Amino acid sequence: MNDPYSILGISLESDDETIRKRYLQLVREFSPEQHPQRFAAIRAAYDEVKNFSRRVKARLFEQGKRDSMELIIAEIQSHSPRRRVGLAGLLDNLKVRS
Amino acid sequence: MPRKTLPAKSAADDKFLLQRVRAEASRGNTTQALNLARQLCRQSPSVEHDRELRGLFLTFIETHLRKDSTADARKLLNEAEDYKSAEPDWWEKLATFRAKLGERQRVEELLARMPNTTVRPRLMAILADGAMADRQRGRELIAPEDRPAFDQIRLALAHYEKGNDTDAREALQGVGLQSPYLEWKVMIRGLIAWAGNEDAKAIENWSRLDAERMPSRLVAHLRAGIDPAYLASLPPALAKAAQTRLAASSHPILMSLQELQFLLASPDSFSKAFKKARTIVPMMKVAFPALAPRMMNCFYWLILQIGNPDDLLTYEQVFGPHPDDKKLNRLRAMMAESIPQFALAYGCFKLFEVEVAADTARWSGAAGKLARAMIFERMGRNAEEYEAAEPGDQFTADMLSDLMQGNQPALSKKASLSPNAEACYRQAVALAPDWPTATESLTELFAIAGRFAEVEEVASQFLKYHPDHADAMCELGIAQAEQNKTDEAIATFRKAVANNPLDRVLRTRLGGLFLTRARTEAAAADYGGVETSLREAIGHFEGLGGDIARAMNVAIACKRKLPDDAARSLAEFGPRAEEPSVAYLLMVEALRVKVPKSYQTETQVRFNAKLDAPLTRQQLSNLLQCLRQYRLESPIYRGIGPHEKRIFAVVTSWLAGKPEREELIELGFTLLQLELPKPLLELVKHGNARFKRDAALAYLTGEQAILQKPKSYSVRKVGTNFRQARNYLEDASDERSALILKAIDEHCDRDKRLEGAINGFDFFGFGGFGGGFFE
Repeated sequence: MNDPYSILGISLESDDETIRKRYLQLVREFSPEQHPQRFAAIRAAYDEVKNFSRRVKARLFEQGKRDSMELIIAEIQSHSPRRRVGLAGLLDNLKVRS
Repeated sequence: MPRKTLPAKSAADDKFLLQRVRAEASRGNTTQALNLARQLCRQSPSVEHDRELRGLFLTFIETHLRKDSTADARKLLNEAEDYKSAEPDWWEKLATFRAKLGERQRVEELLARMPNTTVRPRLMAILADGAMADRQRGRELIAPEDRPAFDQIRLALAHYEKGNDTDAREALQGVGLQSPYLEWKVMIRGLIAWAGNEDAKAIENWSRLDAERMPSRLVAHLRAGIDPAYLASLPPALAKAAQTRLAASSHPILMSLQELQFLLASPDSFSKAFKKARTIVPMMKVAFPALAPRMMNCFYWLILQIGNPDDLLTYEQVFGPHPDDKKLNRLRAMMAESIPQFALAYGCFKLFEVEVAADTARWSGAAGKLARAMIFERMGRNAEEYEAAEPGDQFTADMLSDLMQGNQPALSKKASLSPNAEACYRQAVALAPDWPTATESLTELFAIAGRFAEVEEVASQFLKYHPDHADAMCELGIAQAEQNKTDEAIATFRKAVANNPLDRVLRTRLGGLFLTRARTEAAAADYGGVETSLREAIGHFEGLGGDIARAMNVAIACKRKLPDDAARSLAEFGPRAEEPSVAYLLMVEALRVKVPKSYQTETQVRFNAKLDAPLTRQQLSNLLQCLRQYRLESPIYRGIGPHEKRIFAVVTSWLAGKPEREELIELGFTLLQLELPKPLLELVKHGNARFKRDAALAYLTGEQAILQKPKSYSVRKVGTNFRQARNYLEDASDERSALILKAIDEHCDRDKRLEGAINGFDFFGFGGFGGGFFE
């Protein structure tokens, strides 16, 4: 997921102040020393949305452009509870799909 | 019946028979191939023929097993076991097949024939896996001593399925390290960890599994879902199968989504994807309401990439109105831009702006104003493009309406758009006066039209919001300079340079302004002022600009009859004082400063002498750069025409010297960079006559045509040149080739017709109406 709004956990309508506060809160939570990857993602997301006109432009002309079936599938997979399947299920699955 | 004695056969017969065996085998004629192989072994017994026959048995048995034709496999196995062989490998393979058929008794018998074999554990493992897969009689297929472990594994799996992980773990305690079911134990431990979201632990267990055994294959899809390294290590077909199995085991909708993803991967199946989406969308809205709009977005943006106007109606039927673009005017506009049909894009954005303005709940306050400004700015750009385009290439909304009603559209008609580009930009600036893009677009429009007073006014207004905006200051300074407000322009650029001391463009502009002021001061005989201005100019200029200022210094000193000062100024050029380009600068500045005739003549003689001598490519490039610089000045000095002719004549004589290909091309690129189409034409003609199939020359030929007539070049001819360049560069990987290909791509982006011409067809199309209709 590389949507800056999702990474920062803010809505598209958030103002400069809200975005800045949220950014500082996340940076405190995910320091570069302990969470280097997460920090880099937060930083990149903030750079993308901190500018007001850029935000409006993205909302006006590019909203949803990053969505893909791949991301939707990944999202469903990550949120679906892991279904326990017994021997019969595992064998059926192997037979049908392989 | 007594067997007939066969006549002795030759080696040629054997070869023929062997070929027949293989031909029948490749056709899948098992019986025929085996009979022929047996005949071959009988008539010419040899190790090689025996191996051929046994190889056939193994291949056919394996094929039957793969197809689940167990009866056929058994029949062949029985026949195969009649063939005695000294090779232990043979019996191992037959025993493996027996194990796969679950025939423990026969496996034991075969093992008895191989007293020293080490294959027993593997065979027992195969029997164990097969028994576990056989739901009815699995328990009977294994040795009595393995049955307790078998029961424990089944029990553990049943507990796991019900979520009783503690009971499952307890059941597994009974499976020992020597058991053929140890592999299953490890698999179940991994399953318990996986279900509890302990992915690292699951991976740790599953990575210990034998890839050949059934447990590894049973959980391959689950491991692929949590272990990217494992997924990457799988062959593509297996990886895809694992992902499909994962989707099937996760949520019922995932299977459908994956099918949809597959359809969307190919533009040809976009309509099928819509059909599929029609059935999925209602399920998504129920199961994953938050994700349904995202699926809508996928299709929305894909229409722009691979769709056509018909898809808009299907989109609305499948998904309903898009929350950001309820009437799809924005999407229509962007589709029109991509064709490109600027008037249509303009019209659709106009409708979209009305929607945004009315939607105060969604677009309120500053964001609403800026959003509308952005739409107006985009309308303005489309209006500008429309005005610049050829009438025959563009639809207007009226023309489209004519066409849809079956009437011949009036192709020559090119109605002006209202509001026009200027009004759109003005509206954008009024709505968002602090948004740089709107101001830039408006000032650029005014600058192209030479309306510099308006540029000054708009840029000044903008600078009230962003006092240090370098681009706006630059625009303001240029506008002031164009109105001969040199001192004001200098003040503006001084501020800009102070804010951006490393900006070369700003520094060069400022240097140019000081040079202009020096010329005015020289005309008024204010030599003190000239000296200060030239010092400032040299301080800000880099390269050529500084040389012009130095040349002017020399000229001023001559005019003031100060030979020592002139010599000192000339010495500032260093060894370059002897260069033809410096001779040219000294001559021009002497002319412009109006030094005494004798000195003027002296500089002319010197210039001519320098040009009479053979020039290197670098000297010629420098000379052309000086000429170009003077061409860009406003006003251009009187007398530049003859000088230009003289310099172009030098290019002609340089070409007559038949320079090397590389030198020729280098000069070609210099001429292109300096935008000098006339000598470039001469160069490409000369080059194309001497060097065949040269990508750079083909590219330069195309560029020359564009440079000559930027608005009315022959798309077909330029397309041919660029196609040749691309073809010749097919396998090239050097830096220049990359630059050429990039430049061609950029031309194609600017003029969509070019890509069609490069690919060998005319592209004047609008959706399905294309194909040169408007030519």
